[in-house]
Amino acid sequence: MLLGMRVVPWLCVAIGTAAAVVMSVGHAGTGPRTSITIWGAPATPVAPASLFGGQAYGAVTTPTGAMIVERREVEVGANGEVRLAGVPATLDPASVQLRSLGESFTVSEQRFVPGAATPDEILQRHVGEQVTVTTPKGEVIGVLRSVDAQAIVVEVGTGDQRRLQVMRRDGFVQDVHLAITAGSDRPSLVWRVGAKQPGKHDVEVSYRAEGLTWTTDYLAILDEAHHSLDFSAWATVKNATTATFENAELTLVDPGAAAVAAGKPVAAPARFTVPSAVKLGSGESVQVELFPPRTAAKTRTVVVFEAMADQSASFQQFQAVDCNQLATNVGTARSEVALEVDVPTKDALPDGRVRLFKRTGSRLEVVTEDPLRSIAGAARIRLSPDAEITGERHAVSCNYDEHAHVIKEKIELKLENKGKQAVDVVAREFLWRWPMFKIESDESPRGTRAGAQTQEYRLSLPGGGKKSITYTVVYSW
Amino acid sequence: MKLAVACAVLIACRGHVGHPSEPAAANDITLYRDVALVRQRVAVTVPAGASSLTAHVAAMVTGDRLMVIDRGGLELRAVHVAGPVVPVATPAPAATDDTDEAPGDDSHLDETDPDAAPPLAPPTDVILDIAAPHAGTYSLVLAYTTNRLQWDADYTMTTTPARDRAVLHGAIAVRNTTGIAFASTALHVIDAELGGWRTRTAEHLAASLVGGTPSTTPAATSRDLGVASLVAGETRVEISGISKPRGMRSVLVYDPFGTRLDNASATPARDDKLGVEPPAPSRITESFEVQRDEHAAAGLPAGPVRLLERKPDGALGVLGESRLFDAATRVADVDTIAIGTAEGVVGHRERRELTIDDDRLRLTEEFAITLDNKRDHDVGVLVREHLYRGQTWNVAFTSIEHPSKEGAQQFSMRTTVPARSQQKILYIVVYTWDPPR
Repeated sequence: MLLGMRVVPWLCVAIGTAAAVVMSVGHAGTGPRTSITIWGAPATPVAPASLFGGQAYGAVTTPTGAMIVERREVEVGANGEVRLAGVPATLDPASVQLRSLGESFTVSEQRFVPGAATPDEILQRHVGEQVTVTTPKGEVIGVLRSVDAQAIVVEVGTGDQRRLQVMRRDGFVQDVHLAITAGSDRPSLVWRVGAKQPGKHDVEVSYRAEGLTWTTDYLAILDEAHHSLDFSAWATVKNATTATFENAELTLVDPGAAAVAAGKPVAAPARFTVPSAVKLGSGESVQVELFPPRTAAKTRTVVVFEAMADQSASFQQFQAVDCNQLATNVGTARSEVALEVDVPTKDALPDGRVRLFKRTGSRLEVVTEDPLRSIAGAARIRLSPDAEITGERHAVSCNYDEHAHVIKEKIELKLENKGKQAVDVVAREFLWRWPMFKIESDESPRGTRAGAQTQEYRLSLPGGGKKSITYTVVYSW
Repeated sequence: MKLAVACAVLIACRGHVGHPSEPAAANDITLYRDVALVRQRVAVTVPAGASSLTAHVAAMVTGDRLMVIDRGGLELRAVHVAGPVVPVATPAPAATDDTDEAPGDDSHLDETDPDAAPPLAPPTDVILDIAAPHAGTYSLVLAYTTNRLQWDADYTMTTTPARDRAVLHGAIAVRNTTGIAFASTALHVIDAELGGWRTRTAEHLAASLVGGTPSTTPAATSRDLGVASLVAGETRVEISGISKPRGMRSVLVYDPFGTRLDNASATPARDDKLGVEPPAPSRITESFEVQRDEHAAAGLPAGPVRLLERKPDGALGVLGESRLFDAATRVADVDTIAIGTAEGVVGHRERRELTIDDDRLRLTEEFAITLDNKRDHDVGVLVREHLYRGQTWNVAFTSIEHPSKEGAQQFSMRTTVPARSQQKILYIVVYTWDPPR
């Protein structure tokens, strides 16, 4: 039984369905070229308490916003003026560079003209121009001389008949018709250049702007047998600059939000180049894929074990030299069941949430929506906490050499599987005392570097089985 | 070069009519308590090579909530969503708004007023930049969550003057303010919030993969509602397969607290006055107990029920009102519907002990329930107790044999109180919790 069949004019029918209304066919590559490098939103960095020279003097600073490089054809006026309208309102004027791609010219003056947003601002932009004002007594045509909230002043007539007419805006002025000047109301860059001849020139304009951000979302669909999954990584680029960029070639830079939050320097941020040029409309969000989707990728079920929380964020400015500190960790561990899948990236994937679905017949069931755990070449999707894998970590030995500036610490991690089924365990160890360290060769089993200060060990634990991991780490400074 | 091509496959805005060969259900919607998960099929005829097409999805869907589940053989280059992105040049909102929700995310409407349906709004335009290997018709599937498909379930139960059988009818009313009319849609309902459902599903999946033991707390299950069309406004969908006559009998019920004290947490509430102050009411209700058909009731969402009596002249009278299929009664064998206060029979509930053992992570509570029957004949009483402190519990002792678990925090005991006498029931519940990590 169906009730309430009200239909509103814009109601669209999702049928056969849903709703493609208009399709356009086109090819990228025509018109001006724009390349945009967007930095991912960094987490708020932990400011060092007191650094000589202050924060901006050699300390970690993470770029924000976007670097935009536009190649355009511009018109150089007879007076040497070049105007580029429709640039972002959020542009950083100090970052602007104009370069001729053909005959070279010199730039003698540069101005950033913000866009006009309010009626008063728009009218102010047209002072000195011809306007037509509609009043109850008819139309007044003349040159706009002055505007404020109460009145509008128009110069009318010519020669001896020239006079100023002041008209009240409250009631008397009904309409003001303005001549459209291309881009005059939009944020613009204006240069005065010294060119050999006016006319069309090919130029490259580069600048930094806020308002372009990107975040990552991952989609994973597990097959019914739980053996493989389809995995895709989507970057959502949000454009709040007020400008529209056609045919934009995008490069997305991941500053490593987690590292920045911990106050750690990021050696080489991961960069993702979007293969096809896209349009970034003003106020639009655009989703693009970070890499080709993986279909039917084999999954591994692992239990990720961490004996303790990562303490390294607290020891980036000075070393943790107290050997008794966190020498034994019992009851502080966390284990969680996760699905692991290989991904075609050399770096850890950008932070983002992953939505995991499971196929059940023709349906999809939602399983999780969690932050993705990622290391170089692999992504992990957390399922739930695990109670069967337990363990304790303790320092077998720890020596602090005050003169050599070295701490040598031997760690043993004992793991136990209290369940009946064998499981693959990934034990994550944090080398938290200082960022500069090396693992000695007595490591058993052999681990792999999984982050700036993280080592991972893989082992298989049979049901009811116990195994140990030992390694020696030498911190130096 | 750009060439605008009308898309002939679809019924779209402003009365364009197409003649697609529709599958049985083009869309698929799962209704959760807080949001709906929409899988929306978009069929399109495209030429070979690159092109762009515009689809409409529910109002206020933002780009980061939109997922392409099935590309249908097309290469997908970009997805554009026109959304209310807040320009950074705009002054920051007032300091009172401390939420971090994404622009356009109106899920907060649920938090401010869970009953407030978001107003009808225009759909969101989604532009898909695609490339087709060859000209033809393709079908993509988009997915997203929306809080603009809100719903309620309600039931009626009809009995005869003999009051020994009842027939259940139910319907779900779906209010669609997405701006999209979903034709031919497979509907499912899950009586849980999406977050809770996900947690439970993930636990079960993890347990099946590594051999763990999932929680025994009864969980909501999915109920298929069939294929329906969800137009703007309200659509009522009848729940089928539940109207087999069920046995019914009169019973007295002592349920002093109901579910109002329930703390749905794995860690028990420690307040020593909980369930003691104010004291438990002494009222016992005259009720009807209706047998539940476990198979037919699987996955039915909770909702109010009216018990109606069809009189010999055909008129209907209301006997009582209650709620059915609440989470608290998810595994109950019977449903009870109160119709009034029992005369001459009262109950008293007294707590005799409360012990919290932090070393052993145990909280023990002992209760004595006294039923006082002043009537001239024996009465059967169903005593329903709620283990309101938490969801991890064990009834260590009862003076009544065969207590019955009815839900995650509820069990019942049956006893007969002789005429003009009292009957005392004792039970001990032990709550446990995990050590902090």
